[in-house]
Amino acid sequence: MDDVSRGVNYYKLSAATREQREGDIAIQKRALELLRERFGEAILTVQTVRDDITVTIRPDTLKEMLALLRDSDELKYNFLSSITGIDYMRYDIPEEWGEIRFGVVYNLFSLEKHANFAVRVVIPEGEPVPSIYDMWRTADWQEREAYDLLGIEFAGHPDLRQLFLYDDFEGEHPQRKDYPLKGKGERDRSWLKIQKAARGES
Amino acid sequence: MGIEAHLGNFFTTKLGYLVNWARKNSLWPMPFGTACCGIEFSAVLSNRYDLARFGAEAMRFTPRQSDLMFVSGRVPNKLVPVLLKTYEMMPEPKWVLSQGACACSGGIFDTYSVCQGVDHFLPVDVYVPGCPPRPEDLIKALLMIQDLIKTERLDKERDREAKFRNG
Amino acid sequence: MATEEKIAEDTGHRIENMWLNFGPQHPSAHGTLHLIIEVDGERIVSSIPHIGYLHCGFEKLGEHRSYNQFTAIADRMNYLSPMCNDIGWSLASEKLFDVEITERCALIRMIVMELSRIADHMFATGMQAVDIGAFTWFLYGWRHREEIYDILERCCGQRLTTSYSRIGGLMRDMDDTAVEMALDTARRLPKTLDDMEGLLKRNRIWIDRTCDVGSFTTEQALNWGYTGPCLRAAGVPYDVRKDEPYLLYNEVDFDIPIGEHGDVFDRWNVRMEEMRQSARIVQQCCEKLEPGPINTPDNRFHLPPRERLYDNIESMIMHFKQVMFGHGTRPPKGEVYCRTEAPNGELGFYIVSDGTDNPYRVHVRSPSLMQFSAIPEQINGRMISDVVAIMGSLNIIAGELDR
Repeated sequence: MDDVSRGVNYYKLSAATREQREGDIAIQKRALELLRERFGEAILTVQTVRDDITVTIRPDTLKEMLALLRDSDELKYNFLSSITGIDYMRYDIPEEWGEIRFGVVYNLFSLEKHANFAVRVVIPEGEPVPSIYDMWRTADWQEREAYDLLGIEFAGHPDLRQLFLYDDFEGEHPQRKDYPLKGKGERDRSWLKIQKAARGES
Repeated sequence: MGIEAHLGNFFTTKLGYLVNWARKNSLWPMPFGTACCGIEFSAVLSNRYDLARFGAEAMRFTPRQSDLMFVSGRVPNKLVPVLLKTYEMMPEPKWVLSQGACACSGGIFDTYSVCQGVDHFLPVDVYVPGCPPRPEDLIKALLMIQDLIKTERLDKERDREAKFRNG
Repeated sequence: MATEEKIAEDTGHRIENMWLNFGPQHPSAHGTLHLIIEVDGERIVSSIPHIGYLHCGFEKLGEHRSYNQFTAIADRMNYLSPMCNDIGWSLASEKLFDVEITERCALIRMIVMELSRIADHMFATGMQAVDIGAFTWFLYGWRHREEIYDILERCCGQRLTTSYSRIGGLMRDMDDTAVEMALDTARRLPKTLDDMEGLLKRNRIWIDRTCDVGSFTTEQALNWGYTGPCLRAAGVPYDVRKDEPYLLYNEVDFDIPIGEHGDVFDRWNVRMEEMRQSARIVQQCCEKLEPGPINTPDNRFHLPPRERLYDNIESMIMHFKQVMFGHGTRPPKGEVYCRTEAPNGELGFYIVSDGTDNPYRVHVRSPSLMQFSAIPEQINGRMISDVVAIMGSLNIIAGELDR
């Protein structure tokens, strides 16, 4: 359980908003309970940042977990807000995740209960993530984006090809951490090295 | 150049004045608007800063009927072939105005996919800095292009792509 | 079919459908969208959208800019309503840093966000009208847009791409004249909207071109991830300002217009009505505004005032600490997702922070991406002229779509 400063923040401004937020937090906790009941060992870590819960899993239980969140009457997470691909190469990851490189975060929202939830799938390089195209069509282009810019493969996606970049783009997967930060590497000026030194990187 | 090359100097100069006057007061813009500068370009064309009073009335989005290309906004590398094709489709005489920091030099986007300045590919006549430049800047830029046109000579062909051919 | 077979027999030539390019340099001024459509006569058989012609690497830029610097970059995504992106990013950063903002700051942010919403809808409906052929509407709307530009210019000096908000506060306070101008604009807007609606709402041509064109059912809209006016026109009452309120939206009175059929006419109507509701919000916020500080009392986030900077060593150190690379304000390590209601839909920022002064990863959930991905489903089987109407109604902004 990883708790980062659980506290009320900008929601403090309005009492009515705070009430709504507490309802949201209650539903998220209930969702976590239901997931724990059914998928106990599959959950690697649970993180709570500003009262929002993120559950980290491996890709084999992804679709069943999302189906439970969507179909359960108490939860009804029927809206997929966003799919984010992350390259964890230079990040200090928790030990429970193992040797992984990429993460894909699915942010869900329940329109009826006004509640959030996030599910994170962690994978080493080369392992595909099951595509949730058949559950939500909005996953179509978001998964293609993660594939194009980061190189994460989605198994079962009907049309996994480039979205933003073009055929003869030099290099691959520019959002990865080992791709140059500015331009294609030709614009790396000396002050960038100063910045890295200040942060203790080489 | 046909008959103009064979007329005497007096006639070509007078004819030149007339042709230049006609050209500069009826510059039809071709807005190649991609991003925020494209919205400022729309602002220039609408009722408060009216570009039509300088002759730039007919905003045709087709390159075949326009004289002045406004490259407004950031141009990623994927869009450069489209830009070049549009430029080549414009009939001579044509001028290019690069609007905004992104079109002039890449702007704040020093990333893997943005072309760092349209002048790597097109012969630009006037650069308008700003992010986005105010409509008054655009009007000033149009007047500068009009000044450029005033100095053109009828008997000499404009060789605008010279720097690209020899480079 | 029989004719085609006969022609094939007689001449040996087959008749195939034609493939047309719709864009990327495009008379409908929607930016750089590319649709390849297969047409059989005038009817569309299939279509393939291509994007990426304005892909600039915003998310990669986020990795070497500090949290306050990214405000200037986030502006350039949805350039029709820049304040909403600014403030959306500031809210997400404030969620990460756990910063509380003052009441005056919240009210001013609401005022400028709603003014930006009015400006965006004016332009969106204007472009929709221009695509279908009604140019006068566009010019009427520009007058109000210029008035809103004047107000924003008074606040921060820029008409477009404002970079107005900072973490924990704003760049500059909104002075009384700007507040009066905002109140005046909000009061006069409903009358202008009535005049403008009179041009199109009962116009036979408009109704024929927009009613039952591009209808989308509720299930389809939710499945494809639609948000904003497009989703509300399909009948789903989802508005982040009501469902997950931020700032002080819970304390002002406004309604959410909902459509029935999800067609182009409904989307236009929803946008018109939202402009009226935004005017209501602006009026209420202006009336509630009290003098007070606009920046959070926590000194780590905002630059010290200029008068103290050169006299006081602490202020100078504070200034340096925030501005120098490697020394800026550091958030705790963690990942947050924060959503706001941009005029186009739900604009979400997912920030991964590793505890340093630059974000580790920034992801933007752009509403236009979801709306454009569903284009083939909307236009297959329709005529080419309907494509223009549908694309205009979705208000796709290429800067946000491609990031």
